[in-house]
Amino acid sequence: MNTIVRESFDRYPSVYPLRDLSIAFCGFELENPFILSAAPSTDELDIVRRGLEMGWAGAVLKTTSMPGTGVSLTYPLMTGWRVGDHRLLGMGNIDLISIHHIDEIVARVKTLKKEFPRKLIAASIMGQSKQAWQTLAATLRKAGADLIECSFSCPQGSMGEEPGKMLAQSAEATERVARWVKEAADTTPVLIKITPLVTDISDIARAVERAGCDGVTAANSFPSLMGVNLQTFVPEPNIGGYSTFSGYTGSAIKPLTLYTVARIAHATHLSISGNGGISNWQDAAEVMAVGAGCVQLCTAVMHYGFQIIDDLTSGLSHLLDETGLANVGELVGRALPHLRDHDSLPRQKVRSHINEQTCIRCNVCYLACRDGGHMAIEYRGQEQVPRVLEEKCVGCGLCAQVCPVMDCVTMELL
Amino acid sequence: MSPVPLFTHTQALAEACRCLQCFDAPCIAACPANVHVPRFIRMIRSTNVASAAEELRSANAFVSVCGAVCPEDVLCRRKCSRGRLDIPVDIRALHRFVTASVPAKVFPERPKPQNSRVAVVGAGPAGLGCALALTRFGFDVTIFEKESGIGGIPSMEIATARIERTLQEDLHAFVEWLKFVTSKPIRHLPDLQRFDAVFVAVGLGKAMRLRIEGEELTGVESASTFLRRMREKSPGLTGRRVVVVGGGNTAMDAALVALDAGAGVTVVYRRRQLDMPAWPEEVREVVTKGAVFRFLETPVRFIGKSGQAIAALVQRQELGPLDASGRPTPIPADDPPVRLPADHIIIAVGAGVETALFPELARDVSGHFVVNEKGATNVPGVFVGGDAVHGEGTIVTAFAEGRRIGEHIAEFLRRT
Repeated sequence: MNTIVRESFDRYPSVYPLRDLSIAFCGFELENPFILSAAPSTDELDIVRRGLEMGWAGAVLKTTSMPGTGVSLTYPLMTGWRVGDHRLLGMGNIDLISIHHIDEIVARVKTLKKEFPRKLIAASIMGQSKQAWQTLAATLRKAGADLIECSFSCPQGSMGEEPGKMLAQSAEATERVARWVKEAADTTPVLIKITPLVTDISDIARAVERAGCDGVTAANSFPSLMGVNLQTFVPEPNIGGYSTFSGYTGSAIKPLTLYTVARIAHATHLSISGNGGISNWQDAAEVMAVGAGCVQLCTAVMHYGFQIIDDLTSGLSHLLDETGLANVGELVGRALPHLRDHDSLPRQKVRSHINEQTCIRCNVCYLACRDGGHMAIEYRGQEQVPRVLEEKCVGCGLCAQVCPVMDCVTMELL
Repeated sequence: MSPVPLFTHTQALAEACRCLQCFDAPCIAACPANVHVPRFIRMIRSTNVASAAEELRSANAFVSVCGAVCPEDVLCRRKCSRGRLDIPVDIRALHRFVTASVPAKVFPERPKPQNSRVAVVGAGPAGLGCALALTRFGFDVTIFEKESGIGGIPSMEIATARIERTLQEDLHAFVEWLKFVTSKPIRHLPDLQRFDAVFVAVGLGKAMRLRIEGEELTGVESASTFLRRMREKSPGLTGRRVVVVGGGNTAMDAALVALDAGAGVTVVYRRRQLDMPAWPEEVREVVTKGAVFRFLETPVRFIGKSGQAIAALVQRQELGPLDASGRPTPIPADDPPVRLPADHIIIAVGAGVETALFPELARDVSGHFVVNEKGATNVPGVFVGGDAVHGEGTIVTAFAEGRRIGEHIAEFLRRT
């Protein structure tokens, strides 16, 4: 018997009420914008239940397939990307789609919809033929799924046009298959889960739009090679002396997600469910600010558990208070008007400024500017605050980035 | 002094990542051996611990001992820039992690010796520092040591088993580089006439005495004798009620050894706690292990029965005018002396250079040799360094000074 331990915040709710964090996404009224991605956390009924009970607004059940579809896993699935102090900044996986086929998923959708009528219950599908895609979509529509997500981007799958190529790496294939799914899904919203590993993500997003789908889930994991063991020269993970490419997720890929979501938002009117590297409320708010109407989390949940929802909701609630936004919807795309091509940026000059009160005289800024900048900081000895040489500082901002003290080095507008 | 905690790999990585990698890092200058602290910490971060060990061993032959007993709170760590942000990096624990993780690696083949021959008198930290530097420059060095083993005070008087083991490994790493003549006391320059230069690093061989009645009783001995005896366990602790007289590093070492052997220890010091030359960390450990401190008191007589010490009479002191060290001079108060029962009294009130050694060399009033900033004496080609010049210092300071004077000796030999 597996004992489930409840988190304490579940029993002792905060006395401070949260702001209303509801937002409409593809016509569905979400209680907050935080959804569980199609992943291990949504592949067992009891686990999904716990997540929804703890306050997640919805879940995309792990990608399902037609009965008889083989899912041949090999282990281990996970490889971490760690930095100096063993901190886990990124995670690679060689997981595949769910071992549960559509019949099981339909039953789960029905159960969850009954138990959680106000939560978004979505399912992710992957087919190998027009008939398979359409059967999967139609079956889920009839079962009452709130949304259908189509995995066009599983890096391990070979269900694209050519072996080893992902469906979403071809605009033509994406449009064709997306159209089949939307036909079968009818009024049920359809999201296409794309891959960021393409020459131009706008082309793929436009193909999804042309197909009549409701939106995309972006940017997903990034194809990667997690490392090489230097004793055996077998890359990571070692699978019987061999290895393969992983799907890279976690904090490390957040900037890639921001880029991809922003590009799609500029190119189309699609609804975007943002995912990939979102670990906390700031990440979530940033991804929404570049155009995502909701966000999906996976790796952060797999690492720290469903409990992170308390930080997500309370952080977002305070953000609304601080920014004066009326609701979460006002956040969506709020950063986009400020995003331009480099050519269209205003030309400005800034100059480094070192706060003498907070400077700890580590002189890391001096070294960085000397060897990687413009030799524009003067070293004045161990006990002295280094000095910016105003005539030499071009304002690159490297010093501000390497300074270990918060807000000690700032770039001042000239 | 007990060793610093030994980090696990995970702890070492976490601590190493706190290092800011300062430019011209103040910790380097604060280390007497100028260990490049940010560099060895950077190597820990990339799990290049073998190179970190080479870095440390190249800088200091007593590397394991320093990882265990270096007073970082008064040296590198006190200057750590990270301390201005939150808490300074635990440099010594990282140092210890490196030396404990990587076995001592024997030095590579020594450079081919040149013609000039150098004699080093004393195989302690200063002597070894100098000898290693000169060997590296290609000089032909012979080390004379009056004891049967090498390593000096750290070998003979720093007592814990763990330090001793690592020290022997450290010394073994470069023993092939050097020519040792052990059990060979050298007392006069004429003994060394066939050498082109001489480095005298004889340390402090003469324990100071209190010059009070009863000092000759059985059960009264110097800390140096006590520590050497305890290290060789011959015969071990003789008393149960131990009085240690003094407030320096050696006094704390003696108190710790006596405490660890199961004695009750009272430390009698003539000044205040804040005047103690011992490092706060050592004092804290002695207190934690149960020693009782009596400050502003000094023994005036030891009382014996049938030739065996049974008590110390101590006299309360008052604070007088500041002396040359900037501390108030202790002045005897008018109270009658207090009787402290004691069956073992350890005198740790400092040590001096043996009076008869090297009569050719100039001394100052306290008996230390007089040298210029390069360690040169009044006799050309003869240099002195270490405790014999400065009085009791740290291992790393003496080693680094020997190394530095070795460079001056090399310069002297190239000129002549």
